[in-house]
Amino acid sequence: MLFNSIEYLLFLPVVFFLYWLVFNRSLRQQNLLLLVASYFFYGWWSYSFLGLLALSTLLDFIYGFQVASPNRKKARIFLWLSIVNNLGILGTFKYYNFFAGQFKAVLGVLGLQADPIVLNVALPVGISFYTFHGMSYVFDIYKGKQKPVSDPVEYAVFVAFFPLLVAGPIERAHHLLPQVRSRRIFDYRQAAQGGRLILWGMFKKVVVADSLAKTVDTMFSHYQHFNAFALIVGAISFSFQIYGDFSGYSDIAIGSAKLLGFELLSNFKFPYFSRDIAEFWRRWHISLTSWFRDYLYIPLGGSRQGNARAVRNTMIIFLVSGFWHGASWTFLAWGLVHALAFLPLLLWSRNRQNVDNMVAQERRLPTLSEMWKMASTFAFVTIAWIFFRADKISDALGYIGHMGKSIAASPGQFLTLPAGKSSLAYILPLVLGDWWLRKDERNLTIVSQPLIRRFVFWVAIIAIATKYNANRSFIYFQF
Amino acid sequence: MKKFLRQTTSILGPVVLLMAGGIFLPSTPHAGKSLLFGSLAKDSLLRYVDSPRIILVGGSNLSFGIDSRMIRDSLRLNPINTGITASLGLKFMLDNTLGYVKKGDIIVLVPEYPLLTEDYNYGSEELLRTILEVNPGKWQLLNMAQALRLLPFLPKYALSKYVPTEYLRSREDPVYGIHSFNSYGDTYTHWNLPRRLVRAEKKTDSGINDAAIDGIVRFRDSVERRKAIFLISYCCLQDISYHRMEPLIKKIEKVYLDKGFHVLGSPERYMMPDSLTFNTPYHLNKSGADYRTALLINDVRRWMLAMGPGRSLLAYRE
Repeated sequence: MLFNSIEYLLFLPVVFFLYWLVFNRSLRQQNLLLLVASYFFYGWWSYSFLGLLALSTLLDFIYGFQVASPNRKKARIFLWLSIVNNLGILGTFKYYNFFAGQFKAVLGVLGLQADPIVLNVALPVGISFYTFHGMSYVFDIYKGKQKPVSDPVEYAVFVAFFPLLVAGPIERAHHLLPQVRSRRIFDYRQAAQGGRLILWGMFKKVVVADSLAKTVDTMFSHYQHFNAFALIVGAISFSFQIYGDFSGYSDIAIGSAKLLGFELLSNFKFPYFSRDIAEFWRRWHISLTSWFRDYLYIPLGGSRQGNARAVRNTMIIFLVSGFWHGASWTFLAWGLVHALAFLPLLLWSRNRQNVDNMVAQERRLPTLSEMWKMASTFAFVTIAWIFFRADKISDALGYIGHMGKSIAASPGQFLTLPAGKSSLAYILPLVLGDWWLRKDERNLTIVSQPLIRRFVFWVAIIAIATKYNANRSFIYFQF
Repeated sequence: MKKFLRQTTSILGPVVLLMAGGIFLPSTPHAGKSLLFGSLAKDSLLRYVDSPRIILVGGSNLSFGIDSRMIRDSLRLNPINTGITASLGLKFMLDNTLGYVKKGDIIVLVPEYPLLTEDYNYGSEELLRTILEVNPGKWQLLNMAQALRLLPFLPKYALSKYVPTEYLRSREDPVYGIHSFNSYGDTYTHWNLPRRLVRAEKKTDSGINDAAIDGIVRFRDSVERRKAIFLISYCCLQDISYHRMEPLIKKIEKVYLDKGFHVLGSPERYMMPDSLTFNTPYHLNKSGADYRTALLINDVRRWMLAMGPGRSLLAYRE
């Protein structure tokens, strides 16, 4: 079920009413309802993969007890079993065909012929997210941060909680499980925040991202027909399309969870206002970045064992992060490009310059220096997105190369308006809205006067309804 | 909880009322001149054109890719081109046509490829508009799944009634207007217009929509029960797009053969040079329409001959 579908529009209020008005007397009943609703939500897309979700949940639930064993050898064995099991599921469905294809290509180069078996199955939606949930639970128990859960329903809700089941945020056991296990009380303020977040998320997805998608699709599939100015507009449009799409999804997820009394982890904190690439990665897809940091980068030694080890670990984390997005060389290239931009900051110890403060924290507008830093970071991120969006590396290089050729051939093109210029009309409200909200990301109070606030809501709802496109899925569903 | 529900209702309520009003307002002057209203004339053709008839069923690849007069002159059949837009969905096209099929009719189904592979079978916004403002009586042709598929387009449709340009700038589109069709149902107003930029389809290899294929099988059975003839053919498609979509097109070709349909021509045959397209990979200019129509005429003739020596089309129909 998509968040921007009519089904979800009916599903969420039904769950909300049952949750607060029918099953509100017992925590167990509420959890059971959440579990049934979550499996229904997932099964609406494909019931045939419900078994895989249930199996993955059951295995990690069992491993959790074993990993908690005081016998560390036994615990380690089961930790590895969990890793093999989760990565096995992920590898089979997401990466097998890629590696089979590469294997065939390598043999072909060597003059050998092979016809490896290709799996003709769809990639189960959310597989990259729920397997990471399971692994985080087992890791946390192994590290002693979390005790194994004795109630399978509670654990199953943690893995399958519908707002985050298919595209995150990737939750941590020690953050979400205590909420699943404690009684929830309806809180007007939390629910109102949830409602506003859902509305803002829908606006970002339906009005901004989906509108930009048309320009982006055209530019990326026919880049040879456009000049550099138009291609720059296309690349910038994709930067905001993917941001509107994924942060919109996260807002709807977090908002939906709030309506049910849950607080999920943040996933985006205005990444395009970052002043360097390190800050960008602290603000973009936070739940994934921090997952890799905690469960991969730090166990590998992080940056505390010399420069060589830090460079190696940084490369690993960025390449794995790229590959997590999909079995394609383009995602690896995207990860590599980011790693190469991040490494100088790390080596010169400048990667933690902007850790806890937001740009123009105490001011309305940024300084010129801040603007330059934001613009250059955004320009770099936008160029890297070209690799992420292109179907093949050659297409990405072709896109960038064509921009260069076009500028050389016709420098005067920047004096006329480019194709796709209307995209900018969708980007502006998103940038302004984010700038307004940057100090108070989830509250979304906008303005204090109720009438003006209501008017803003009406405009947003009408814009969403007018732009609504039932066919547009979320980009991150494929990952 | 009460406060939350009250606040939510007070915000959503006015918008819902606005939308409800929009649904019941009459069509705007701008919408009233759209090609969708051409379906009334096409239904009239289906109802009143005399036998022997050849009825072409599909989307805009037909309206923008056929000169029916050539069919009439060559085959001595009365052509009816029902093509408007693929967005009406294959199911609606078939259900609507079925209501008018007479004994002896030749029905040639020419669906665009996305109708057989993507989620177009149940139609989209254009079908909703057709049902709500062009021909409300047709709502009976919708099933529940189709109605649910159309529901998400309702807000946009309703709110379009409040857009000032719908009333102020109501000039008819010269190509996509109610008067763009000739007396056979072909779009002809673009025949004298210069060619526009045609952007090729993206590379795709999606799966076949089984519901769409099952619908065609049921349609064929119903047509044949009425002693009419069902034939199927391939839509015209710009060569660049064809090559990008080839794996998918081959799957469709295999399905046609597996299902035992009487197939006219082959997909390659209807692959069109880019120079013959008009404004999309499926729309042809006048030269393209002439060329494509000639191909179709030849394929129908071949099929007639294949019925057996000395067996005329009329004999087959008998």
